[in-house]
Amino acid sequence: MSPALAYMLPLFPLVGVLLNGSAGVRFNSKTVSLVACAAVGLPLLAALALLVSMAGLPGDERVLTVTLYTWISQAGFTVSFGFLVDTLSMTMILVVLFVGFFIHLYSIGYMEGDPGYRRFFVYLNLFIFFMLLLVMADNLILTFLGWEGVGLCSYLLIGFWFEKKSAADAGRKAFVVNRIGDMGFMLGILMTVLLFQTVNYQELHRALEGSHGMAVTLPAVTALLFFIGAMGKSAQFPLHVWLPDAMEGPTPVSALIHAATMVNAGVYFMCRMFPLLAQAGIALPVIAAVGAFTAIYAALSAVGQTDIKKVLAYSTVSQIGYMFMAVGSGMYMAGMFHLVTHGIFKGLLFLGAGAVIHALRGEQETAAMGGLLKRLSLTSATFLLGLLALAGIFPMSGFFSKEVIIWGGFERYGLFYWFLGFGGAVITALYCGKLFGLAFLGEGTYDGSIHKPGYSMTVPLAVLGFCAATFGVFNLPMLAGKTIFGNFMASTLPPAQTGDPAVSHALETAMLLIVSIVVVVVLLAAMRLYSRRRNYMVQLEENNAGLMNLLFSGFRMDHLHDALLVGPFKRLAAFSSTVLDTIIIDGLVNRAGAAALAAGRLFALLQRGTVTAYALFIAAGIVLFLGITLAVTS
Amino acid sequence: MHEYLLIGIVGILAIGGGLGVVFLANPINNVMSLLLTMLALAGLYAAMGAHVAALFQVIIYVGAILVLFIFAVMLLNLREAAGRIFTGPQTPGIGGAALALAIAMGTLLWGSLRKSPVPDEGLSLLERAGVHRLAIDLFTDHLLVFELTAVLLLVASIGAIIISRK
Amino acid sequence: MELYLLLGIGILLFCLGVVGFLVRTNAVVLLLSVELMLNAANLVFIVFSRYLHGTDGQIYVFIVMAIAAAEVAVGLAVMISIFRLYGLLDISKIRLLRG
Repeated sequence: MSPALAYMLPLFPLVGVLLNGSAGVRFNSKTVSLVACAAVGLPLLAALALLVSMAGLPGDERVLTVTLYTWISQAGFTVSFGFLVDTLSMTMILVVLFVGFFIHLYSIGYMEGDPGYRRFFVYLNLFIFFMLLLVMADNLILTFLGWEGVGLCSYLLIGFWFEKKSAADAGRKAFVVNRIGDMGFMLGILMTVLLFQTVNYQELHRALEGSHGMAVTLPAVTALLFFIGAMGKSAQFPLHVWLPDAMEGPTPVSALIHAATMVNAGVYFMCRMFPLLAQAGIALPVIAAVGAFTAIYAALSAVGQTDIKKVLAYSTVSQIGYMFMAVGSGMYMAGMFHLVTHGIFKGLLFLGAGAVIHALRGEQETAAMGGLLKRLSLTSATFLLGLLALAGIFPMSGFFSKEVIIWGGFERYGLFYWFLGFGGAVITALYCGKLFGLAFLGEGTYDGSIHKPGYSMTVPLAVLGFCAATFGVFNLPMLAGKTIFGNFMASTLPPAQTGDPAVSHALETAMLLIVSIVVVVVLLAAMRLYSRRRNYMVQLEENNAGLMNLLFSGFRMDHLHDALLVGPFKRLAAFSSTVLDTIIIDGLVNRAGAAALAAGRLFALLQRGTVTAYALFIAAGIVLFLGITLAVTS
Repeated sequence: MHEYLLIGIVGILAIGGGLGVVFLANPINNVMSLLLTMLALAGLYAAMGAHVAALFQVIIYVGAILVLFIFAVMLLNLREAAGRIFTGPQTPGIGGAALALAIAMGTLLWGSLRKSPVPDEGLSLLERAGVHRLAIDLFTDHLLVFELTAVLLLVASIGAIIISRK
Repeated sequence: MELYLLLGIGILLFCLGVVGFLVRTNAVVLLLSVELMLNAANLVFIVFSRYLHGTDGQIYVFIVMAIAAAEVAVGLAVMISIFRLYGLLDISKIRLLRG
């Protein structure tokens, strides 16, 4: 495994940014897309090469550390700019680059003709750069640098069509909510430095594995602080409010950032800090609780959405909740595997939604869709694959990842927790079926002509569809212990704790069957209801308008925020601008200026112009100095 | 005793001349009062034994400078209004301020004099210095000052001519 | 003790010169007051030269006289220019120096 390959990974996107950013104003759109896609495609090849060489090494040697230079060095505390490529980061790198590359391809078709075409690709490449930094960093501070960088790119890309007020507002909201999480992250970094005097991951792991005689509260607080940061970035309740609004951005952005990569950064980071979590007492149950709550809350909200992208947005929040359920149950590998499969199928779903929107010339409301299966066959087919994976239907990849999580929750926290996971899966199936039934099945309600997507959009859809369907193999054999993915990750992450093998095997199979069957039934039922008996369902929803509104607004979270936080803040701002700023501060400044002017006018009186006056002043001065001299020398 | 009387009378003359300079109205009267003061001062110098200084006082001050003043006054044909004899300050404020400042200055000067290490009693005139002695000191110890003063005079003459040209 | 008497006369003359300079408005009289002050200074120089030091005081007196002559020459030239410009020599009416 050569370090040169590791350097290439973030270098190419950076070069893409610089090239497209500066000289790109003169490029035509073909060149821009070529530069941008090469900036992601070449690192993808390098990553695959790294993967091959890494897989060839024995388990405990699958680590590559590269240090570029020492960034901060003060009083024994060093922070270096370096990369840590182990199996965990390798997984993330591959997800980012693989999905990212296909999304770049897709964007060529999707963003065609947009006046900000070049800017879009510059931002996309910048995002890939920062995401790679985040994932490959070997210490907390460099991770945070990437963390902030992807937050910036998210803001830039959400507000890409910034002339639209809602888009600009959404970008700002994303950034501000992220910031709240980042505060937790920063405090976590401070705690870590205080406790362990280092921010390097490998040194931290060594320090945590040894005995350090700390009470459990300190690591717990640190872990929870980091989790707050992860909640902000990964849109968990209550810091999830930015993600539905983030759908204002172009669909490739939603696919890349808000499905496949950035929102998973929180999960990745928690897995990276697993030694801390293992010793943090109450932190793991808290994470599991938040994850489970978010999963159900978001799934319910998704049922009530009418915009195709917003359904997927809430669905993302929900699925990340599942990932945190896995982390909270100590099943880091399962969480990461769900991250991989979710990245693929959610990216696929967003790209498919984008294809639909593109075809219907901007229409995003599901109420206006219908019967697209006949008219957009490839899109619909891949969309169906994605939905099946999302719902966790065998043999899609989602099945293999989600079931493990639900089972793991049962093992750690008991039947109630299993029931939460199960419930979430059922609701997921519900909204998946509803979405497919409304948009793709039944009779069409869209009258205009359909603009079929070109190859740049259909090829990524096909590739991702294939992966969504087949990637489940990596988690085989599921019930028998060591899986392919598990073997790969074992060099970095600890295995999940399993209970008594004999009992659990039978119980596991039984519960698995229950979940699978119920989910399939619900999915088919929803599809059928919303397609064949569409009017009936519409009527049903109207009859329960209150409930549906509640779900639509995400249980009125935004209203709550407005009332609790935004409203008082705006009043404070108004008060500051009218009273504090205008009256007090401006008054002070203006008075000071007026005072200076008045003093000046006062002193101007000295300038009489008559010789007598000046002579008087001179004489007075002489008297003064004589007096002082006498007084001093006496 | 005699010295005191002599100095006292001449001193009163000098001060009287000074008062005349300040308070008389007609400019010619002012110049004449200054003449009186200068002659009195020349007398004081002579009484102290500085004959050369007294000589120069009369020649330069009275003979040249005051003559110049008289020429200027006559040339400009100044007349004060309403033919008063004495005149005072324009406003009482200026007068009061001037008086106060002058008194303050005088007090300070006298105070600094009293504090300086000048013995009260037993002072008498030193040995008199003649022209010979003064000339040697002027042209050897104080040559630079002398030369610079010459330059100053030249510049002043040229300046006066230039300024008063039409 | 005549030292102090003489010095008292000198200080008194000096103060008279100051008062004259501050009170009068006629430009000629201003110059005369300056001459008065210079003479008072000369008196003090001579007094100290004769009672305490050597010949330095008298030499400075010569220099001061020369300077006074130069100053009067230039001052009167200026006065004449002002008279040509304003027609009168009342300095309270001349405000060219006003800032």
